Amino acid sequence: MLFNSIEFLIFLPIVFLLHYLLPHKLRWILLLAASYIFYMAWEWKYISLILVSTLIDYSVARKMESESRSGPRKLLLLISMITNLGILVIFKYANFFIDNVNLVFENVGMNYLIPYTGLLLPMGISFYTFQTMAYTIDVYRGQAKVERHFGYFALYVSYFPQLVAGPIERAQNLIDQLKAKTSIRSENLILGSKMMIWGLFKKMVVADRLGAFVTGVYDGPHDPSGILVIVATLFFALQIYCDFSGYSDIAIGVARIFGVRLMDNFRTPYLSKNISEFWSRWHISLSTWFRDYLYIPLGGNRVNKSRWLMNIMLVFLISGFWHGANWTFIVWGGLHGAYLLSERFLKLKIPLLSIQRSFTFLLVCLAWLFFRAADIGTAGDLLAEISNPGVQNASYFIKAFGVSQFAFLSLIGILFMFFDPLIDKRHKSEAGLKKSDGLVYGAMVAMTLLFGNFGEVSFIYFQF
Amino acid sequence: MRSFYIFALSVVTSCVVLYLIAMWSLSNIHFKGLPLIYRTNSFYQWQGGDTYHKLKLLEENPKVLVLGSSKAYRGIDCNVLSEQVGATLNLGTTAQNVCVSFSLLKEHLRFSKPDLLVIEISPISFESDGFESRVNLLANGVSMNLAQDLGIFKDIRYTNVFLSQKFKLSDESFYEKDGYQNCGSVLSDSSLPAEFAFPELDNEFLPGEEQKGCFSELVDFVQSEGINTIFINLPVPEESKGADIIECSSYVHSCKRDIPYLELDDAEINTTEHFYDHIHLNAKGAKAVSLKLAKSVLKK
Repeated sequence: MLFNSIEFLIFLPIVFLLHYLLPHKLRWILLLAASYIFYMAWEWKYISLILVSTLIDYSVARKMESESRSGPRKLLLLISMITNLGILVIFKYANFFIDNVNLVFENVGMNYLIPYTGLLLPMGISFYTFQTMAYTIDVYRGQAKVERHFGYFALYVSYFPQLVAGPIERAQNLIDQLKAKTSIRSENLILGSKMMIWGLFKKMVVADRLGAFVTGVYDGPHDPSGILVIVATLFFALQIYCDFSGYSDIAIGVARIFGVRLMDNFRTPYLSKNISEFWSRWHISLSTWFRDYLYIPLGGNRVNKSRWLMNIMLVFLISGFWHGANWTFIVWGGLHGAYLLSERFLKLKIPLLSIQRSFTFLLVCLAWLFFRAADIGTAGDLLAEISNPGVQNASYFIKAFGVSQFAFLSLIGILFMFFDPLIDKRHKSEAGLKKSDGLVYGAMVAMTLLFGNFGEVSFIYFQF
Repeated sequence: MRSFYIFALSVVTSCVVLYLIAMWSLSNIHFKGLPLIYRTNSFYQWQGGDTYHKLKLLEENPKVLVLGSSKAYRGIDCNVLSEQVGATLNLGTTAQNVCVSFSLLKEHLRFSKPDLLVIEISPISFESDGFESRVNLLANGVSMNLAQDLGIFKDIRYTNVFLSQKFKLSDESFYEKDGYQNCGSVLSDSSLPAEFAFPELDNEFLPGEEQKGCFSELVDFVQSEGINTIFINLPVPEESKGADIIECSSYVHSCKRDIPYLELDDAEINTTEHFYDHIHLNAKGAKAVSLKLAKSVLKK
């Protein structure tokens, strides 16, 4: 079920009303059923994968609780890792590996080609497997208490506001909140509504509208010129930010009206002065996951220099691969790793905050080109085109797309960049109701109704 | 809870006021001959001038009423039918599907009942979700009655288009199509170039459940109202004949009951001479097909 669909518009008020009508001890049943319905609205069969992850991690953690010996605890952790990563490998990465092995076969002249699995990529698979793995690792480390109530644990794994695209929550933060007795609170409803309105605006007015132009350039039948590639990449930078942060805002808003505070996932990342800061503002729940469960266990920065460099590169390459089974994502991760290392070693002193921000934004955009391209060959072609301005080609494409629509989208993009920090500040302050709130959020709804894309376009991060 | 109610009320009030102000302004401020609202989103682009003009004829009293998609308004020459059979109104509109045809028929019946109803059927009649068709009609001044039947409140885009039309101060069409005939047809004099690149064939007929339901209701309706009806299948070039057309024909045959279904495909219609693109007949093709249709009608 998409947040930007009619089904969700009906689903949410029903769940909300029932939640507060039911006695507290029954609410987890409602939320669990709602979460499974939410997921099954997409593909009912794949709920079985969530159930497998839930059962394994619940049982492993319970067993760990009664086991004090290090060896068996490690074995239990291994079982959880193999199950979760196994699901990921089979459903998300198998075809990628098959593709590459087949390529090798072809190159060495072998006639045999391994057939593809034909499996559909389960929505949000990387999110819920990482969330449940985090729980088992925390229990293993003694950093999280074992959840004995199966229902609440199952709800933690599948909580519908953040099930398919995060934020990836830690058990310590979410389970206690799910268990807490909540009542309808005005400030939660206000902030929740604000976040939902803003998230929908970002998704439907900015991301989906800019996306039409980006798709035309990146997936269109004709070779785009340099100007088009640059403009489309800038648009994509805004599209992916608004799409993903829009989803996170709606998720945070929905959880908030149920009295649950999810973690922040974005903090105006395009205002970052450098790449290191960018990663503390972009997809925070994933970057902290990789920090806590991969980078630090690898030794973090408490190892020798070459190992440390390798750790950083490895984390970014894996982070890229987490996003998708394609070399484009690996290169994207590698580029960010390389940026970060260059930053640490070159220690460039760039004057003026605005130049620092612009330079960082351009580096991020260059990496987005790989992220968005259909394959690595296309990314190379698009990159090569940047040196060829091709004004005529660009003007032809923009005319076909609609000059006035293009101008309108550019205006939306510019205005969004200006207003985003202001709205973000408004949400973070949590200072109750401001006099201008009605006007600001009323204007957002009016603009969404007037200019939004109502074609129910899926969120980009659902595929990860 | 008081502060939440104040918040909700102020958001709703501001939203309604700002929406109406913006809609009114964008509908009346023009840029290069078009209201600004048309320049903000691609779905405002289907406002064809022919629909605007033919909706003005909706209240007239024709003997023959033609419904269908662009294949119908380009492929049935209303002048020929008017001469041969009786006053004809071609109410074919862009991407018109069965449900929209049914809505237009009900709207027309509020004013008069035709002696003969001709409904063009092609795969698009069953496969199209009707979005393009509904937006096209709503952008051209339909009545509140028809707007409601078209589902104006089912999709905010329909509401937007309808309101922008109602808010504009001048009653004029912004787009004109060459070849518009004042009885609803749009005829093109161009012919298909010899080296024309035909799109890939569509070999799958995927009728929507909603359209199937509308077709069944439409058949019930015309039979219960005693409206003389013919379904027709207009010709397409040989190069565009995918399996979908044959499957669609068999489907219509299977559920049309005793309403005649006229296959107007003919060897005399040839690709380069009678078509101006991969599916639409040109003026010459429309004349030939309309004469054939008239002949069949008169024979019956």
